Amino acid sequence: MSSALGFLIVAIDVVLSHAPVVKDVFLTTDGIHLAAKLVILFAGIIFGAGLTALSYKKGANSFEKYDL
Amino acid sequence: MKNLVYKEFRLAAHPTNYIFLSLAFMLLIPNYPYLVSFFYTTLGIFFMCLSSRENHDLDYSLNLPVRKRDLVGARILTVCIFELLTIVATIPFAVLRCTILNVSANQAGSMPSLAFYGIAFLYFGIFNLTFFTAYYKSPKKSAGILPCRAHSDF
Repeated sequence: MSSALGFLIVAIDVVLSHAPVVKDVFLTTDGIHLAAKLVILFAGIIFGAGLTALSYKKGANSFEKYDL
Repeated sequence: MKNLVYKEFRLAAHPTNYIFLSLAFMLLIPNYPYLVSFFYTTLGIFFMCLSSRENHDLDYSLNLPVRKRDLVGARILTVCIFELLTIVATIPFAVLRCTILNVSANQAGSMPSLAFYGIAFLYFGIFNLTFFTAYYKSPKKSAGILPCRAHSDF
């Protein structure tokens, strides 16, 4: 499941870098579209941190119930 | 918590966790999906959990005077440190790729820009959620969570 989602994100990244509207955001490395890049960066950080916190919460709850 | 994280680094961390940090150089490969370099970090995390199971790390850790919740927190915090180390390790190569080696745009995915790192953070977040949710439901059966076959295909 985890690796399948990993492949999916890589695939989405490849598609986005060829999509007509957003490809410049993903293919340029200079200051062009800086605002869009920063929005994606901070959204990624916030969502990544949120999902990690959620994984801790769900993992801890599951582990509390698990009897070794 | 600090002592548990120290224990994770000294006893639970698998050698591949450190070896795969060097795969940050993959950002120098032309026309390659650069998110794959982060994929190897997740493979190292899987190995860490697998070796913990084989070494009965959880059995011994539960004998310590700590809460079960803290064991989960220490493991996830250790993983987050490895993920952040991976991102830091890729930054010099990303700068090289975008300056000196910027001869053509990447044909197989995004260039290593700020947006790319946003996707990388999201990638790690989604991995953490799916992997650890499944892992802590049955820590003794971690082999099925992340099929090695998929990684060998890469």
